[in-house]
Amino acid sequence: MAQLPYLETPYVAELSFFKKIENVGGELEKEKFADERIKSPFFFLLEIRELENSGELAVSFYDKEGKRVKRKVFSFGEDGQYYEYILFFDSVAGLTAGKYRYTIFLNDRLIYGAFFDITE
Amino acid sequence: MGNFIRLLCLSLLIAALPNVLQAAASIHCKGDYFLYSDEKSYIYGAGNITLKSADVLIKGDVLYLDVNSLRGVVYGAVSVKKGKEKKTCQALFFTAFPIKLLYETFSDKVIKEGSKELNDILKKYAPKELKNLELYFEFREFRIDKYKKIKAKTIIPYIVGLPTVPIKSFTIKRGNTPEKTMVYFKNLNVFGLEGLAVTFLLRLRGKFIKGDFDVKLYEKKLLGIDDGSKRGILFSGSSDLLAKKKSFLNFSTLLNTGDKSYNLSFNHRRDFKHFNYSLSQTVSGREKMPAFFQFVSNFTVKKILFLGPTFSFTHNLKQSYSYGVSTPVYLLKKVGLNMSWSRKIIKENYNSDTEDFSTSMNFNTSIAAFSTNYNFSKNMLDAAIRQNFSANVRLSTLNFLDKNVTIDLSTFYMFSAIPSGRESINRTSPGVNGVMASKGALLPFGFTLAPSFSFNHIWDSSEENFTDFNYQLALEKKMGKFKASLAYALASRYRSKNFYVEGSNTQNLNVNLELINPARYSFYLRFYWNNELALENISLSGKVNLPAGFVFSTLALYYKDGSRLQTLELFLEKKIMHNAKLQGGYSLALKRFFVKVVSF
Repeated sequence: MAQLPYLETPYVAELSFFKKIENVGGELEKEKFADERIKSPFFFLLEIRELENSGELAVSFYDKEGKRVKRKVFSFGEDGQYYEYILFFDSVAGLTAGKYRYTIFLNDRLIYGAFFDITE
Repeated sequence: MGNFIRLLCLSLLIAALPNVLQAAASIHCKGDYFLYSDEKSYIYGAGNITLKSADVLIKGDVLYLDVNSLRGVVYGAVSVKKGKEKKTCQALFFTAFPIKLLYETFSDKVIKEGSKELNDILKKYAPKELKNLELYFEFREFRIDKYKKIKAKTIIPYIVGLPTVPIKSFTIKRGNTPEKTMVYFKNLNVFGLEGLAVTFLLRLRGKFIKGDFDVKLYEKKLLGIDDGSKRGILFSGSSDLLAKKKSFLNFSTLLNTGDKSYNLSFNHRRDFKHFNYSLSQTVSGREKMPAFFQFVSNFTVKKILFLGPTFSFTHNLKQSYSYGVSTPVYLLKKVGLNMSWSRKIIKENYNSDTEDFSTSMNFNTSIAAFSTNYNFSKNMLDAAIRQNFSANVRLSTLNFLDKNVTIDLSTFYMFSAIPSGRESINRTSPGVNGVMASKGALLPFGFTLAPSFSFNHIWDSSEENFTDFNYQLALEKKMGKFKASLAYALASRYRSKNFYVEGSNTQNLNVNLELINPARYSFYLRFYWNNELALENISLSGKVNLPAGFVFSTLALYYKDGSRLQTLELFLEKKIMHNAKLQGGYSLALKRFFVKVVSF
């Protein structure tokens, strides 16, 4: 049974939206939206698991017509290192209310995408 | 070790189930890693994914597949070979049967090609969500057909998060159950009402029979559930005996070897153009208890003029029986009017013979809802008569100040005549209820004030009157993660009889302090003042999230009277399943350390 399956590929564990995220002494202070509806500006928080070495992660936002309206790029890690998980977060502003889509590229490979709504 | 052996046996049991479905058109998938959750019916795959179906070959990096809808997506450097056509993209959305594809590439714009109706509406579960369930499988290869049957290779089944025996090849999902006589594994449940339970379905399909029965083997003692029966087999379900492909007799059954109980029911029903009838026989019992038999029959005429009468007869196979007739009255469209008459004769431990006549009426208007009931009951043994009448009018809710203040008013009238010896005691009770409530007003410095008031008054036979007042006042202030609130409640009860009035007031006061950061901690501190507005008790509960999914919890209850600490519990807990957690700590109430698994 040397060929047993073993998950060693990076994967998206969670992506969530907040009103505000702050790094306070290494701890993330998160403020939720009062009615859980996403409003602009917002913060996104992304948890990627099973990462190794250094790399680049890009989160892109597309509007209803499929046009890219925002792109956030993160560099992470060091060669030869293993990371059980890494948290990425940033703010996004200037988006009007409507339906949007985000994509997550890890080292230029798409690994995840989904739709979400921004309300007034 | 004992638990491991049980799980090992269970794994072998599951593995030994026969594979009876032959695949129709199917998709064959290979990859470095696949994860299937039985509860979510969902597959996640990662690393060198290939999907092959008839003339389509798909390669990519990540797979999300919803088995219920047979819809999925492959992400990464995706290549598709369909016949002689080759394409590449970054996201490939697909439906499996028939196979439809939507190719997407992302740069400054999203470029779509193929079946546009396959938009990205797929729910995507992360591996950690799928692993947080009672039963899941990890494997390297699988085949899925249009009946959603999944046969996998090189598998490790996980039960309650524990790896069991690796299996070379196994049907991890049976898919749609075929219409033929068979027995198959249905599901595994841990931490349910029956503890650890494995359920098989017995399906009967034949020219003269059609039925499904669950055979559930359960083990309670192993999981510490102590309700009398330690383990057993629960056999339940129903079946129809057929004539000309139609059911002429239905029988349902519930047998439990754990508490040695049974319930069998036989039902026959026919429906004709102008009438229908039904016959039913029930037999039930439990060890050391006498068996209970009941025969029930109904005959309904669908409509005669403005009536739709139902005649019924019930017999318990001893000497007790009842018969009667009931009917709706279709005189006015908006008025619900029902009338019934019945006679019930009991000859068991005691004798009784009663005749009942009842009628009810209700109708709604835009300003109020009206309802009335009248019941006349005659004891045929001593000719005693009992009567009840009630009428109720509920006004529609009155709203003021943009629905911030609401008022509900209702009034009722009740009359009862109850036999007492040779006399009859008559009692009338008209009354009125009122409730006024407010969502609250914003005060200076961010305080919110929410008062509510209710009253009800009953004139009891015009001799004795009851009046209740209830008053509540809540004051609240929020400051970031901190919330303070004060709640005062006052209840006044008055009873007047002839020339004197009795009355009493009860009140209490609560002060609540809350400090909550949902991601890290939550603390609740409550002070309670009793009727004399003297401090009676203080309670505290708190939780702090620790690394690795552990949570530190504390509960304390202090009584000022006697200066005693009633409860103090300190414990660590960790969620081990989506519906179970492991707790360990010290309880002052039990005066001992404890470790336990609790379901929620």
